[in-house]
Amino acid sequence: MKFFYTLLSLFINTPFLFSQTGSVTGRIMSANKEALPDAKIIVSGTDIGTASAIDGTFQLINLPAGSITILISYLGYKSDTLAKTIVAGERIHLGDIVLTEKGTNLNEVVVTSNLKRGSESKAINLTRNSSRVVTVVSSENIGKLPDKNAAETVKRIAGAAVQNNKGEGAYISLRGTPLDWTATLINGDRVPVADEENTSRIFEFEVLPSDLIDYIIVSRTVTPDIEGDNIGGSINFLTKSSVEQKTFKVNVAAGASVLARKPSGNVTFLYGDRSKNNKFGFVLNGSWFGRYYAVHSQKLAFGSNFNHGLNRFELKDYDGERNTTGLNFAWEYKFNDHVKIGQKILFGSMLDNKWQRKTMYVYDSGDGKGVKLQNIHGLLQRFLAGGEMYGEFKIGSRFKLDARISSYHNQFSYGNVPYKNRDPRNGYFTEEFGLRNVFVFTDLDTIDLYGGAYTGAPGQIAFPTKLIGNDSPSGRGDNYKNIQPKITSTINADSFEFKRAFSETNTTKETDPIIAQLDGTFFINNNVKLIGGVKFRYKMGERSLSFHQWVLNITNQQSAEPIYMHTLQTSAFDERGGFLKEFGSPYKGTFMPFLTKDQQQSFLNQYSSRLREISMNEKNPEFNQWVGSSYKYREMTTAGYLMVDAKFAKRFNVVAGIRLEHSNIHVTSDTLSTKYEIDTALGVIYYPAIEQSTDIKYLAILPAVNFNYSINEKMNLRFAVSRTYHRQNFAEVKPGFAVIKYSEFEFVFGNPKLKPSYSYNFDLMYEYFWGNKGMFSIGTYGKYITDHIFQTTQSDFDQRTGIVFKSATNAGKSWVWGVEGNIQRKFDFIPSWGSGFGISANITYSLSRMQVPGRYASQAMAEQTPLLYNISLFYEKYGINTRLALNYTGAYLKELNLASVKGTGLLHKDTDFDVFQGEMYSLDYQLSYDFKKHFTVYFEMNNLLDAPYVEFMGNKNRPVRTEYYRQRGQIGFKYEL
Amino acid sequence: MKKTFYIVMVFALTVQMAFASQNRKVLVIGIDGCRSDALQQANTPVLDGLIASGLFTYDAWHCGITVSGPSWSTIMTGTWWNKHGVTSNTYTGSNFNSYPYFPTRAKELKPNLQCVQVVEWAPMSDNVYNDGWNKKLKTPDGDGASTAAVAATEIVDPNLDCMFVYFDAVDLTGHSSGFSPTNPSYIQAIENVDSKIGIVLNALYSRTNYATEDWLILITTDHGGTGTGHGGNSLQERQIWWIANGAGVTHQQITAADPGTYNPLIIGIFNQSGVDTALLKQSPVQSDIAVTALHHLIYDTGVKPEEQAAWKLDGKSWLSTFSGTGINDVSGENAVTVFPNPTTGMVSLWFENKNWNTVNVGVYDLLGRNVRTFENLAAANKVNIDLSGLSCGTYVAKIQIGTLTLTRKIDLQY
Repeated sequence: MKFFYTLLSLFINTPFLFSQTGSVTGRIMSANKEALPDAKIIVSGTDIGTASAIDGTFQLINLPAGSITILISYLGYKSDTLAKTIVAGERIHLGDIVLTEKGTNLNEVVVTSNLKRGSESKAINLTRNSSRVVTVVSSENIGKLPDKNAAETVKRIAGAAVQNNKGEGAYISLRGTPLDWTATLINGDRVPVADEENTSRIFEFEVLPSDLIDYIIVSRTVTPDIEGDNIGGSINFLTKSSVEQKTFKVNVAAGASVLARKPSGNVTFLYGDRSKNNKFGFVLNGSWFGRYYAVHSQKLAFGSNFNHGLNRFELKDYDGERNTTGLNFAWEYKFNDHVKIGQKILFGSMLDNKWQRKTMYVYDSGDGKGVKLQNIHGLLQRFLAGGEMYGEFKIGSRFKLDARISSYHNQFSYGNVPYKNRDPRNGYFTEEFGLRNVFVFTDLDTIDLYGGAYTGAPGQIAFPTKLIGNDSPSGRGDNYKNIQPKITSTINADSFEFKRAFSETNTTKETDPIIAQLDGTFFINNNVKLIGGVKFRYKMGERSLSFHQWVLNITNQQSAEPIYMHTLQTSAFDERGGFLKEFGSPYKGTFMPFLTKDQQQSFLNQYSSRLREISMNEKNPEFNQWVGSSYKYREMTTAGYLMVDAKFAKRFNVVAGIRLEHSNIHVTSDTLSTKYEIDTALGVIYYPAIEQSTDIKYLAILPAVNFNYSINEKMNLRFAVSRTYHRQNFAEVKPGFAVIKYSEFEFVFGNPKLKPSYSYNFDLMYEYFWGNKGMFSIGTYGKYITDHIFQTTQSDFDQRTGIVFKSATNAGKSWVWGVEGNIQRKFDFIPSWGSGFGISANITYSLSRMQVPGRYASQAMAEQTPLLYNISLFYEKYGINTRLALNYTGAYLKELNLASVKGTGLLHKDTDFDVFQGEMYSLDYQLSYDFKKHFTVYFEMNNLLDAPYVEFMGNKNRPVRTEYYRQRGQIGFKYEL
Repeated sequence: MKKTFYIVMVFALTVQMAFASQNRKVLVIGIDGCRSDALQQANTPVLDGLIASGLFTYDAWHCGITVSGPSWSTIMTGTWWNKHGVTSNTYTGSNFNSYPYFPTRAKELKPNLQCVQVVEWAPMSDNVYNDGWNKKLKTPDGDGASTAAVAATEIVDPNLDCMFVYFDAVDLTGHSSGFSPTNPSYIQAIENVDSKIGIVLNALYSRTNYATEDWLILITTDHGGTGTGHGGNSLQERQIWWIANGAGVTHQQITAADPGTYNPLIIGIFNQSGVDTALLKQSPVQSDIAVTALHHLIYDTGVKPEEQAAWKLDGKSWLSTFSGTGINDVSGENAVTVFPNPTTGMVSLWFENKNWNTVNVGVYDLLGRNVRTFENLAAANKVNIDLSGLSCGTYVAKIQIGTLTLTRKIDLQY
């Protein structure tokens, strides 16, 4: 500590004690009262200069007494000059300095409303002048694209890749790095995560409508003032803050999904105003987006570590209705030039009323073999709320203090299905029917354990197994696009009997009750700032999964009589214009009827007298599967940083410093006791649950240097070196037994010994700006990672069950090297109407290696996509704004099977048993036209290519999961005051 | 010597009076999914000890559906699936009211018998009724250690007359890595269960009055397996085994030919050709266990289970072999089960449909008039017909399965 004081006093020494100078403050604004951040303010004829902050304010200190001329310039705006006389020891308030836009074509400016161009220029400006490698997306860019949630907006950004959930963007990663390497921040805070299935720290974007966002700042390099848990980079979503003048916007849209054949609707509004004395401003904006969706899906479950025997084949038809609602309220009060306070409150919710009809062919033998029909219904509720209070205090002309306290809560729960009134048995609810006929599958190959043909050689065991494609040694394997199970009995609707009903319950919550942050900036002179701060966060969460089952209550002959499906209300299966039309509708006309939605909801009540309820507790014989499925955790993070932001020789900018982050993680969960107990009343012998806990504490030391060389007004060369890390997820380190994913037949174990990953990052980038008309950049980056966390998968050694075990493991040394290019350009060199054309494109290509324990050769890193690109062509002129955008993410390795066995004692060295994420792409189109000053009509079509979501094992001919969503579109109009 | 015997007899009688207990007692131990050839391969000192002084067969036959639910139902009721009605592990369609577990039958003659089961597989406990157990205990699936420990605790109860202990680990291992004598894990699982049986037997031998009691120990399996599964008609799945040991049991091995199967799977694929009823009378088959156990429990009443026409048992008692008497005729009959009967409209008809023929059902009133016809019903072992709309009364259903016609009366009542 003493060292810091010494360092501090060295810097502040002279100018502070012998003040013979004056200072100037002010704020740079556009004509429509939008703050212009990063405007350049220079005292002509001197080296003195600065840039405006994100709220447009600036100050120049250490100005010599006498007359000076201040030159203010901003990309895309006319420069301004102001002559002032500086008096020693005094401060001059310049107030708001309004810059007017450069407009080559007067008509264009009138038609396209200044507001839009203003914020887009602002975005490019922020990108250019930042001390980090960033991309800034403005609300205008957001509104331009047919994206209804924030993730879909981000996927247009250079190096961003998005993973979907039921056709909508859900998760983002940067530069194709693993999803959980990218930090998602809302107004600078990493938000808590609570989701149905995702147990990581990856934020689920479905709950955050893009309409609430003002700016998105994507940082690919870090400075010490940013949380260090971001190896891949960070994405900071800034919600709309208070406005500078009365603003009112309304946006109404309607559309439809091709597969669901149902409508969608979208309403957003924004209202804001500012008091006459300009001290108080506020904004309230909200959004509702309701839409129907449908999914055709196929799932293949491979049940062995020894061969590619198919354990389960499922055809799933989903339909559902999603409602996303978001609300943002922000106010700000400026006491004077020194003190400003404000608050932001955010609320987001997504309700998904999801129905599924699943046809299952279960190839496993013995009691599990069967043809099953599942009617599934769930009401998925996601909810996010939180906000922050902030204050900005300027003490003297050299010191600025920012204080912030925020709090966020995120939760997932299932709604009122099958019962009303928040019954604890409510969950993801399934009614299962099974084929009653005694049958065997006749489409089996007889193989030996390792997948070769069974020859009857001594010691060889024959395994009758279902194989697809080239995995079948007899060559009769079905192509994955046309898998037709065959059995010794005709399958008809009359032969299905009720097997059971079950509800998978899930309550997941994560709360950051307090996040406190204090940042101080000390201006040593106009070119050198010393910034330091501390941050504390307390996080707590819990996830509890359980299970409730209803079976036939068999107590006598009469009650043993099956409940046949045909005695219930059923309706013919709706193939929605061809089930898996993309595969040539191979199952046309073969589907069994399913329960009507009314019958699905009334079944339990109707048959309550014939059913027996089995709750999940220690005495349930299946409790061993569920014992570890609930866990609780808390985490305390304490961080401090110190950095210097220095400009020198006009063209150089260095930001260097160090961040220390201490994490203290505590997770508790249950496992089974090794000593059994007897409940004599129930006649049950059981193993009770016992609690276990994991404690992990570590200090991360994270230095970072960012260097920017501004070759001239148009060119930047950036260089950055940093150390960052990635914290373990709570589920990854949980003690106790595994968490079950019941309908996926998966058990996910925690690994309390898992270490955090650390990465040394290196970035080099060249940027070129064509004024406000566009930019071009090319760069390269490298990361050297220790203890990369990857997911392992392995089949149960019990080949019957089809159960898969997963857990997280640390890899040995890993590295990624990538190159990326980005261009945004309006074709203004084409004369006349042609100047409205433009392109926005980016590409990231990477090479990676990871040393996997147990595998001899290193291999491509898990979860790192080698290629991703976005290309969009646009036309913007005469009030027309149209754009065709293609987004692509290449296939990558997702989970590694380190237990796959090739022969006696031989492990597989290749990736034939590993699970890959298939390539993802989407082509979207949007057209909007401003037909009057305040009105815009628009039209958008998403997923024009009907791109699938695919996961596969080893190669593409073994797809584990395939989902198709078809196209969806929207037409709407906007009103803007 | 004679005097001692007399005293013991008096003592035993007193015990029986006081605790409603009797001398003749039965212990049935089930090992799920244990192939006959694998059992012979495994090193099983406990079972070998029983074989050394008992009667055993490695050539017993499963003549039904080689799935646990139907198989254990046959072992415990002494009837095949077309009577007890269980065709799958969900236990729907069961008919334990008419074909109960053997302790229920024993209690018809000896109501005070004390019977206990300890099983690892919950459906066997939860979905079975009319089973005659005084106490049903469930232990965790595959956890032979706790099963043996609990059974050992229960078996020393002086009042106990009949116990069934069930181990699932061998079947679980078979599903996991293959039902095969060449699979070391499978052999290991058999050897582990053998040692657990040793724990139960040691407790049995430590009973206070063991020396004066007449315990019949029967150990068997429900089915074999092939690959990692079972349910089909292959010999690996159908060839089973059993061991009998007790005071009156002499040491001998029984070998016999396969009588075939009642499994309703399509014939042809598995090269099966129905059941040879002559062989069924001689060969050791799965339905014999319950009948033999039952016979031992009720032996002193003089009632022979096979001769109880109302019980309609398919199995035969091997106690007669021990004592040299003949075997009951268990020729298969084409049974049709009508449920519910009387009915309010919907009726299910259960029958045997070996050749998987299409089924036609004609319903006639008592004057012989055809009132309903259900044609070309799917090839199944069960059809559902709807008589609602007809007036109340008695009707006759003629069920035509291929060339075979069966008739049953149905009472329609509202």
